[in-house]
Amino acid sequence: MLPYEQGIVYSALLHHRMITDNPQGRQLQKNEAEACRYLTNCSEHERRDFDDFLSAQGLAVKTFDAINFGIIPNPKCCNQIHVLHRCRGEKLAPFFDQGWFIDDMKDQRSKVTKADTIIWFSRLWLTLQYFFYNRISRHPKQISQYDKALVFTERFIEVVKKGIEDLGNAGRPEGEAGAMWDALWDDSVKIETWVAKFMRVMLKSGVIEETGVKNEYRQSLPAAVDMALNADYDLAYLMPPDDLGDMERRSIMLITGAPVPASSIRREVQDATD
Amino acid sequence: MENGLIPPAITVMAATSRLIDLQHSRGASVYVPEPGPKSGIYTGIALLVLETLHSLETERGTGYITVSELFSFISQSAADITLEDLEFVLLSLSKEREICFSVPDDETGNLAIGHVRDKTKLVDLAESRGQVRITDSASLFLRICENEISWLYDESDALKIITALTHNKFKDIPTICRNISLELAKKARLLTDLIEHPTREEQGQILVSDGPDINKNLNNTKETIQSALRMILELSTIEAFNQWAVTWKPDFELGNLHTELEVLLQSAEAVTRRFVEFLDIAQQRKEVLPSYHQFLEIADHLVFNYNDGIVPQLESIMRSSIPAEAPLWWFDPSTLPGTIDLYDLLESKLDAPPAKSYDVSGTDSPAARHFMDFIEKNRAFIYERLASGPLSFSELVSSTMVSLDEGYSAFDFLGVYVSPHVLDGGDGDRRRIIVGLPQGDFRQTDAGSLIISSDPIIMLEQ
Repeated sequence: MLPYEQGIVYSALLHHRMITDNPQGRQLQKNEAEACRYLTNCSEHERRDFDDFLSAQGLAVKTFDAINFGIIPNPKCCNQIHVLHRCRGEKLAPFFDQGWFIDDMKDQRSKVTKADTIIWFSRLWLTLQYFFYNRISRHPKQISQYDKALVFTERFIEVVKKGIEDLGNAGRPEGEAGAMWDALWDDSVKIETWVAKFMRVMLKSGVIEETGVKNEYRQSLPAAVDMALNADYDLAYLMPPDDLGDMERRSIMLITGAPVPASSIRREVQDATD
Repeated sequence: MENGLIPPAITVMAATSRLIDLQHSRGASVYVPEPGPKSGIYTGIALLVLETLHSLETERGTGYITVSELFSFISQSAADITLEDLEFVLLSLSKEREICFSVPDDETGNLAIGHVRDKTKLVDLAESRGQVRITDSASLFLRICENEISWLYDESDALKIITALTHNKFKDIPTICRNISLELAKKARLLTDLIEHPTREEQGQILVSDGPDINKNLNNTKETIQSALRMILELSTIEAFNQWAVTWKPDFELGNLHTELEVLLQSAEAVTRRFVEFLDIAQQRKEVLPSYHQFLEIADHLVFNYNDGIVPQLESIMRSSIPAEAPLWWFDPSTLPGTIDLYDLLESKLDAPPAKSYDVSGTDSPAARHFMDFIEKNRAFIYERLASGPLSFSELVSSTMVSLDEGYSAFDFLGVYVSPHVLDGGDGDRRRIIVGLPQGDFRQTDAGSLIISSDPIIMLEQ
């Protein structure tokens, strides 16, 4: 791969996050086929150089054989899919803006604080993952099922409304512990507005993609890859502990990244599959 | 059910059940019937009856068997089956029912309605109701179930390619290849799902235990495809194809068939690799099960266990989960003459790249005019030099013969190696410029900057 070709590949990956020369259900994007061919046909040494180049910026490329997603090989194509993702534990290059979504979620006219924006965004993001995973009994590691992960905006709003209603019925936690409750309950009349902004941000970031049906979206492959790589680590910090006695052992396992033993969570799996 | 496995006959039945329900739909609302209290038992008895009758037919030939003998056979499989239930099921399976259907009519261009009754009986009961035999429809149903039973890849599909080549049925080969590709893609997806889904252990164990046979079948398939590839290259096949093509005038060549088979072979190899990967992972995964995240539960837990540290933690997680945005307006591959240090660029506060670069986008930018001026000035020298042989970039850079004004360097010339046509037609010379790209890098220091590039060669067309 010449440096010029590396540039084409890098540019295509930054713009589109996923490149393939045999796309399903859409047209080829600019430079996509060319970039895919360069990346597929380069030598091992050249690929290592390119991986080092990306790694210095906190990025990496994951390559899949398209046939593993049930895509029939096309004799004229390389039949591979390359997805750009962040390297866990590596610092992202400084020219990336990681907080852009907070600005996009803010409404310039109203006086919503940054904390409230993050609270609403997180709630909606967790609800979106419920649609992509829990509702279809799918584990975050099941990348190949991304095309079955759909969300219909109307139904999404219903689930968010129901969740906040249940919070209201449960009652406000005492004192400062009720700050998150206040942020959600007080602004519950604007759920549709929050959801509309959230969906726009999700589309812009490439987490969801359009399906051709109005207000119905599907999880993108890059988003599925990100969740498969990060869910078990990031979300573990937010999960309620099963029992306090197990806290020390769970903490050690979270820090070292060790998998949770079956005996600790067999009940969890049972509940998920029932 | 203890092991969670669904019998293949039930899978086939389930696949057709909604079509049957449409038979009773009135169109006002979607009709979804509820099963009766003993539906499961009657269905189980029915499938046992059909399998037993089919098995006896294989041993004894077609003919009636007494109901009492049938009862004794199926009681061995399930002791709680009663004779009354068996008789009810036999009576039910022996009755015809009407199936309405419609197919497109070529003449009218609309749907033409049809009915069928006789294909719906699964058993024939003698008048006495004391003897029973299986019908052809039931045998067809069981044959379909048998195909569903085995995951083992059916290598007879690959053998069809050899048969088609032997009998000069070249037109069928692309369709056969496509069907096999589709089947391979489905198997690859199934394996991917089993690798990714940590709790489908029982289904995975079946594949692990059938591993040697599945592996053997995949290898046989690859060998068959390789034989087909060799056959295609034989003189006899080429002659047969040419003769066939004169009559049938196909829209493909023998080379296209060769390419299809190569892609098929690659697919078979990919599925084999995937299967090996699956066996590896299935045998490693023993006691460790990953956790399932209940996302809505997490959301509620955060509300009722809020503290000051939660919002920064959430912000940090969201920043790492949502893809970051990059301001890409300053980046274009044409600004990469060799390697570039992005951090250095950032430190120079995103200034335009140094003048020692070129713009081949064809726009009328200062950089493009700069480059074209340079070319015009040195065109004569380049053609004169090329007349005596090819010119490498490293040689050009070292040359003192190139006329340089202030602010120019020999590196401005790198662009001509990418767009040699800008030199074409100089001084009435109509010969084309050709660029070759050998292996290896060329390193040169210029005004304190280290430039690393390839070392292309240009030559005049002979």
